[in-house]
This record gives sequence, C-alpha cells and structure tokens, in this order.
Amino acid sequence: MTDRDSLAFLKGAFANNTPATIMLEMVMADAHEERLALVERAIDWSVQELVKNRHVKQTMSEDGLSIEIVGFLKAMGFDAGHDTQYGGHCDIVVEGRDNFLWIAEAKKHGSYDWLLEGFEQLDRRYSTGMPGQDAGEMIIYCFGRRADLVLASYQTKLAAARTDVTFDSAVNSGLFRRSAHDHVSTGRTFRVRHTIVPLYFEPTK
Amino acid sequence: MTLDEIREEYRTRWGELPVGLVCLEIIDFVASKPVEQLRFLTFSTLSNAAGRQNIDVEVLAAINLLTSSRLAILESHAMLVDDDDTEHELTAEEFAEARKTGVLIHPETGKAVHDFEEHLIPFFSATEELQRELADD
Repeated sequence: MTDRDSLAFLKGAFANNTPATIMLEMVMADAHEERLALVERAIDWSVQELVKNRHVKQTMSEDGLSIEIVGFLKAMGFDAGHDTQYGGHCDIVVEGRDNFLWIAEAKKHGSYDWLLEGFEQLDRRYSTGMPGQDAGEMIIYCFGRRADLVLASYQTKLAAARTDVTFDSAVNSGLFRRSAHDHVSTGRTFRVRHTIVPLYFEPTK
Repeated sequence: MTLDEIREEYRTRWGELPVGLVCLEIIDFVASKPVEQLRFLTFSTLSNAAGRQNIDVEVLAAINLLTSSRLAILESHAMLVDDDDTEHELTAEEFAEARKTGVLIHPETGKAVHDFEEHLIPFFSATEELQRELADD
C-alpha cells in the first residue's frame, strides 16, 4: 500500500479537475441521494462546457445538444444514454446500481407550450416515481437573450398549468429551479430540477 | 450474468470509448485472479491492471462504471490505517457518515481522527454476485 492510495492523495491529485472530483465521489457513493447530487453536478459541468463553446452550437438540434451532454456523462463513467426506451424515447438517462434511474427531458425553447409539453412527458410518460427513480430534470436550451427571464416565465406558466407542482421558494432567480409534486403513479414525491442553458451568441464586435 | 456476458455488455455499450477499453482491461484482470485476491483492490491496483503508471481520469471513469453502473462488478469500501499500520475496515455507514460530515470517528477509540483522509484507503472488492460466478467456474 502506498500513500497514493489514500483519499487525501486522490483528492489532491484531482483537486482542479471537476469531472474527476465528481467521478471520485461517485465511486464512493452508496446512496441514491448522493448519486442524484453527483448526476446534477455532472450536468452542471456539461452545461458549462456547452455554454463555453456556444459559438459553435448555434445551429445544433435539441437531439444534438443532448447527445453532447450524454457524451460528457459517458466520458465521466456514468451509465448514460440518449433515446433510451422507458415509456418512450427519453432524451437523457442515467442508470445505476440498486435500480437508480434519473431521466431528463430536454427542450429547445421556441414556445412555452413546447416546454410545458416536455414537463408532461418527463412526469407522465418517462418517470416511474419508484424509489431511486424519484427525481428528474427539465433541460431548456435557450438561444435567445436573458435566459433567466425565460426560466422565470416558464416557472410562472408551469405553476399555473400544474397547480400540484410546488416550486422551492428558496430558489427563485438564476438559471435553475426546483419543484416537487406527488407522482400520479406512485403517490411518492417526485422532484424536478429545471435548468436553462443560456446559448445566446450575437457578439457586437 | 456470467463474466463473459458482462464483458460482452461492456464491449457493446462502451467498447468504442476510452473508458470502455479501460473497463475491459480491468475485467480481464479480474477474470485472471482467484476470488480471494479480489477482496482488496486499490486505485493503484486497478490502474496497474489497466497498464497505467498513475491513476488518470480514464481509469477513474472506468472504476466509476465498474462500481456504480447497472453492470457493476466491484463494490467500494474504505480502510482506516493507524500510524502504527493497524488496519480497520470501515462499515458502509461509518464511511458514509465521514463523507457527509467530514469527521471520521475512530471505530475503536471513539475519537475523531485528525486528517482522516490521510489515513483512509478506498478499496474495491468483487461484488457478491461476481464472487459466486467466479467460484462456480
């Protein structure tokens, strides 16, 4: 045994590498809540990568962007897939041991009805609401200005359309929201993170 | 699922990715060892099995798949090593609590271990399913 096998060494070796830090924690995770938090961190990092390179993403389709995210997740060693069949073709799926299943529905913002339809698909078509499968994500690709305002309007419209959905009042600005509601199939609480990806790119110089 | 079937699944699903190739190297290593040698595999052991001098991100990704995917063949554990080299394997609960709180209570003394991450060795063992599978071979 050498020092390079200690947790301190491993953390230090990868301290400046976000994906590696996520992987190291995922390897040690043994509860669904830990896995969920790490999938969300992996999504956050993937979104940052997309946004950093948004100048070359302007003509990409919804599927193309989701496939890029799945590629990032796979490279991090997540059991991720695109177009996986669970009640239909899910945009992004991460599966794991002990029946862990996280599903994201991704929509390119063109209209709010399109986004609300996405939420319905995530909630009523793809999600199971079973233990370890009781959280998912809405990912909204936004090519217009002020993604923060788009997300705020989406929240207002979703709250009106789905009075059973309660948004976390502690998160009411910025580029994501959290909500919860009783899953119609299981009666268990189903949690959704709603993330908007700001891809607007029209440089003035 | 037999180890051959697991290997084929990895090859089909991830074989074209760098992470998949590392997984296959590690699966071949696991297949070549007697079960009793699959109970204490460190990051270094698995890196060497994949032909790497150091633990790199591809090895880390492969270990992630091998421990956390639906096709996991390894389980994570942790060993606390005292200054006098006495070893204490932590329970899953002790390890989880230390990760969550940032404090590790020594399983014997009951006292918080100073700089515990310096003394903590994550390691892996074959899952019970894999051990049964290998024992049946």
